[in-house]
Parts: sequence; C-alpha cells; structure tokens
Amino acid sequence: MLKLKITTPERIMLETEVNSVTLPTQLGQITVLPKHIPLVADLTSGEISYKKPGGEEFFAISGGVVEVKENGEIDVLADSAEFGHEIDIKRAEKAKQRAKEIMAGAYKDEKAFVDAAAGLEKHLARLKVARKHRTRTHQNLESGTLPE
Amino acid sequence: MATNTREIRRRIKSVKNIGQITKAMELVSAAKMRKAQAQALASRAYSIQSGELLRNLVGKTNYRHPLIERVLPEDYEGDLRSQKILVILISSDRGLAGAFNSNVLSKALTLLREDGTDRYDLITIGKKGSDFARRIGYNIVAAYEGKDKNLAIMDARPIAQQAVADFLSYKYEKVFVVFTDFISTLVQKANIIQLLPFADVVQNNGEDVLIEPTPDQVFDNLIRKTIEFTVYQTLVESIASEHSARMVAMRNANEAAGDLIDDLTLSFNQARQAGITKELSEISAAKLAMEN
Repeated sequence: MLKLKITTPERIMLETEVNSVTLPTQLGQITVLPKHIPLVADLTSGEISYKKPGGEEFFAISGGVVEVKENGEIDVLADSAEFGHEIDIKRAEKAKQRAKEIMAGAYKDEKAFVDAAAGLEKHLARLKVARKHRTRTHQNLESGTLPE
Repeated sequence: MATNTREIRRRIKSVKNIGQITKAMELVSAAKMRKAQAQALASRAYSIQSGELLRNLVGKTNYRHPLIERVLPEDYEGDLRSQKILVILISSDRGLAGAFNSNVLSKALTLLREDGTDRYDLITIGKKGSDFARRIGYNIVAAYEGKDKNLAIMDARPIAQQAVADFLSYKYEKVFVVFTDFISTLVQKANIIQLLPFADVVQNNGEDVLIEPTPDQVFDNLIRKTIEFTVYQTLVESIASEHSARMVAMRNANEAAGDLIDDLTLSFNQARQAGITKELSEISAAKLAMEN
C-alpha cells in the first residue's frame, strides 16, 4: 500500500492509503506503484487519480511537486487542488474563455501571456475532472447506486 | 460632600464609556482573530512540508543552488564585509495590542545590535516597525503598510522577490525575517528565522533520488516557491498573533474597567452615605438648639 497525502496552501486535502496513483508530471503522465524508487518531480496542471480497494477516485490540480519516498509515502504539494464535486462548471468555463481571449490578443506582455496559458491549462483540467465527475454520478444514479 | 459625589459619578461615567469602547474592540478583534487564526493554521501544513521537502532533497543530492549555499563567483572582487544583512521586520500598523509590537521590536533589536548600524538594511511591514527603524536610525529599503485581513500570497510575492534578487546579486550576505509566531490565543512568541541562504541544510547522506525533469528546474521552482511561502506564512502568523494579542489586551482592559467601576461605585455610596449622615446630624443638632 502507498500512503498518499495531498497538501495545498489552503488545507490538507487528502490523506489516504492507495494501491496506485497516476500523476501529471512535466515529462508526461506517470503511475506510481508500491516499491517505486525515490522520486521528486514537478507537476503540471491536470488530473490526479488513485486506485484503492473501494474503486478509483480523481481530482484536479494546478501545478506543484510530488515526492515519492522509499517507504511508500507520496507527498503532493499542489498549488491548488479540487475534487470534481467542488468545481463549478459554469464558472470554470467562463474562466477558460477569459484565458483564451487574453491569449488571442488582449495580453500586455510576455508574462501576461504565459500566465493566461497556464490558467487555460488549469481550467481545462478542472473542466475535464468536473465533467468526468458528473458523468460518473449520472451513471451511478441510473444503475441505482448512490455515490457516497 | 456634594461636589465629591458628583466628581465620583463623573469618573464612573467616563470609565463606563471607555469600557464600552474596549468591549467593542474586543468583539471586533475576536472576529478578526478567528479568521486570521484559521488562515494561519490552514497554510501551516503546506509551509512545513515544503520546507521539509526542500531540506531532504538537498541532503540527497550534490546539487547546490545559489539560494541554498552561498557561492561567490571566482572573479568576485568586492569585500565580503561590505555585504549587508537584510532584515524583514513584520509588525502592525495599529497599537493597543498589548506587548505585541514591543516584543517583536525588541527581538529585532537583539539581531540588529550584533553589528554596526550600517551593516543592516530593513524591509518593514507595518507602521510601528518603520517608525521604530527610523527612530533608531536604520536604513529602510522598503516599507509596506500592514495588512490585517484578506492577506493573499500575492502580498508576500514582492517582498520575497526583492529579497531573492538582491541576495543573488551579492548585495546581501544573509536575509532574516523577524515576526511573531502564533502559538495560541494567549501565547505568541517573537521569532527570528533565516530566510536566505536557506538554513540548516542536511549533508548528503548518499541516498539516491530521481529528480524530474532536471535538478536545476525542480530546485529553482521549489526554492522560490518555498521562500515566497515562508514569507507569506510569517505574515499570516504575525496577523493571527496581532489580533489575538489585541483581543486579550482589550479583554484585560475590559475587566480592569469593571473592577474600577466596582471600586468607584463603592466609594460613591460611601460618600453619599457620609453626606446623608452628616446632614441628619446637622438637622438634629439644629432641632436640639431650637428646643432649648
């Protein structure tokens, strides 16, 4: 078993035992299984998913760093992180649009463009997670099992 | 006698007024305190963890970042002694917070007294701190207004960036932060931490660790973030301490006002009783004189 801990500036989001974790690193998506060698990697905006005996769960993060320790502890320091049910799809959509508009020509300098690009990536990841959450809950409702 | 009771009544009234004000300030501080404490505690985990991660990581690689270990370039001509020490001093804008400001300022003084006045540059946050530095003749390179609510990481960024930039250009040898650590509502402790170079580094213990994409990138990212966040954390801790100190000070003032009112009421009643007794004895003396 791996011990997964997600910390953001606002809270300790999650502390749980998992079988495996999939993370979006700068070099691409990786999955960490038990007995992974010690690793420190930068994370990009995207989706973290983890498998545990009860099933698979996921949430969105926007950048950060992960440390995989020899003893199977995985510490994620995320700039921000949200579960699917915490994301307001309409607002995320609007934020995404705004970032797109800025990138399309309203930016003042290089830095504003980069910020907008990072924002766009973040909101895309949030939308993806929110939609995934919604379809899952829907399926669960149809098959008659309520989530949580 | 009549003037005496009137005098006492006047004093009771003014103490009552002050009591009302301190009561109101206590309530306001209590509300701000709850918010500030929650904010300080929420980000503490992240702050501790990012510092720990960085320290561990440094211990596991041979890679040395200039913000962690001071490396002077080979062609560095200047005198090391001419490099100054930067002190980031976090106080508050407003007083009436018990010993909050005087504690943090005297802590700063222990650090500033270690060497000559011209060896130090100060960045002050809060009016009390900048007044203090000006009074004792230290050079202030930047003075920020104290912010006692809605603090965000963006407020810490310019301070951290200035410190990092000046440190990297060899203007400063060390950077310290003097702030107040929030321990509980009743206990706050003025504290000094070394921000740069990143202190108490563990030596390489030979463990191997994979760093992706490259140590350069990961370290640079992590260090800058950690330093920024450390500044942010010291700010929120100070704010939580300020409001806690003020609330406790105001509660004490309130209790003192209550005691004072009790004392004054007692002497008021005594004076009144003495007046009545005196009048009675005068009347009966007069009556006796008339009967005779």
